[in-house]
Amino acid sequence: MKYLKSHIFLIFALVSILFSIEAYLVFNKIVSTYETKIAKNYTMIIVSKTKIEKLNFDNISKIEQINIENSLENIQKQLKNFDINKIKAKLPYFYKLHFKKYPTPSEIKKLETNLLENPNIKRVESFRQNQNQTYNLLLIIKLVTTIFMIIILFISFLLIVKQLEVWRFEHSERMYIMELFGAPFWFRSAILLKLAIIDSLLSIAIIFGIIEYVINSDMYQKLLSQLQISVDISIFQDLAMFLVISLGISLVATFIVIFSKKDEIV
Amino acid sequence: MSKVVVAKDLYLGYKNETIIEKGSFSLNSGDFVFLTGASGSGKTTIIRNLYGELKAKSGYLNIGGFDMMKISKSRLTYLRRHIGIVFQDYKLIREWTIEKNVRLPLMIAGINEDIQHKKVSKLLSQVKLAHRADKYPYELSGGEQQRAAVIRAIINEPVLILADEPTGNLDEYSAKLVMELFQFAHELGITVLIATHHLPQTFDIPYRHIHIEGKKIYEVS
Repeated sequence: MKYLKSHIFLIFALVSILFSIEAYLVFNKIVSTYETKIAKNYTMIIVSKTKIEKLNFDNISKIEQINIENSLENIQKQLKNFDINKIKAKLPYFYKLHFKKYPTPSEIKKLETNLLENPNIKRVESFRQNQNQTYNLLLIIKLVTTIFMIIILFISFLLIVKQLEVWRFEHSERMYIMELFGAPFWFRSAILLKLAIIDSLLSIAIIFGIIEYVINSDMYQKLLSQLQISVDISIFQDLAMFLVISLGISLVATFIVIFSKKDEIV
Repeated sequence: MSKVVVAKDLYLGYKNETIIEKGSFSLNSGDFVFLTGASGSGKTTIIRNLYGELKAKSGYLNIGGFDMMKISKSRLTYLRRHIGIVFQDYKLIREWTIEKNVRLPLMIAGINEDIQHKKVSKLLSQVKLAHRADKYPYELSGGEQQRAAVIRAIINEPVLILADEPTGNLDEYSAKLVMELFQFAHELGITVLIATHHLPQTFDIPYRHIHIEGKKIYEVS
């Protein structure tokens, strides 16, 4: 109980930091998976007088010619005097442009302008308005998660500062007494370092529990199925990152306490 | 007789204030020395200087062969393992038991743990504190805490023991018991320097008396 009291702020701060970083990564993963998915579904239609084999734009993954045969045959069935061959000869070529990644509104605008500069291209349909709404929604989600992460990091930083003050008060006298009797640096710092490592590992264990619970929750699974995407999130992949961040923060905090304790005493 | 401490023309003080001017004295191996002076005369300043917490402004100070004016941090750490320190406020580690507190210098010296326990147990029994071994400092009286603190200073048989007003907070009886422990240290051949307001009325062993007055250090014959 006494241990928990003295370490609750650091553990809470570490858990908050790790959670906000993981949440940020998960959101980014979801958003980019969703972006890839809607990039696959998104196409731009162009109408050209001549055949198009290739366009010089990096983001275009495929140029697919739209087959209008079926539509013409349907029309022929309904209209007796419809000469399909005559119409065919006069009709332009229709193409669908597929993209490697979801294009930004400015990319679409630029592409549209460039395509229309080509005298053979008669029309470009980008469905820009719909696309803009989706893209802006993704941008808002990204922005919100980034702001969320920054706020959490800031609050966690304040908690760590508070914890440092508590530790400085609690441990400085013991370290000072040890120093008086000639204890080397590692001997004096051993208890604090041990506690810092335990706090880090405890925080990682807590965050594992929380994230495992969240990614297996109905709400999260429902969200993914509504978005019709599957995001592979394995917390074990982030273990090294968690270890580095958590141990890094708690050890830096510990060293600040160790090196600043003298001012308190003398 | 070898010199444990040699101080020559020491200037000690804090920022612009000088507490000791041209202070010279020496302690021989096995000496028992009382350092007296009025409040604020500089007794604590000298003790702090001797255990390396306060550097002299100028002069020369040698402890156990180490030049304290030029000593590095790592050498000071090493030297402190051969100096026992006793304070008026005991400076026992609150969250440790008395046994562990007394064991501290042996732990620092890296002595085998079994030997540590045996040695502590023997000394605590000798000073009738064995029944308090598992207690925490706050569970003991002031006199008991100070006896534990003196035992901690003695346990690894240092070359020098420095005590700053060790009986200042104690009643007459407890003060007597603590002084007996310093005599015990002296019998072990340890050099003892005790800073105190007043000399004890009666004292069983021969001792030297150094006095501070008007920023100067005098040997009282």
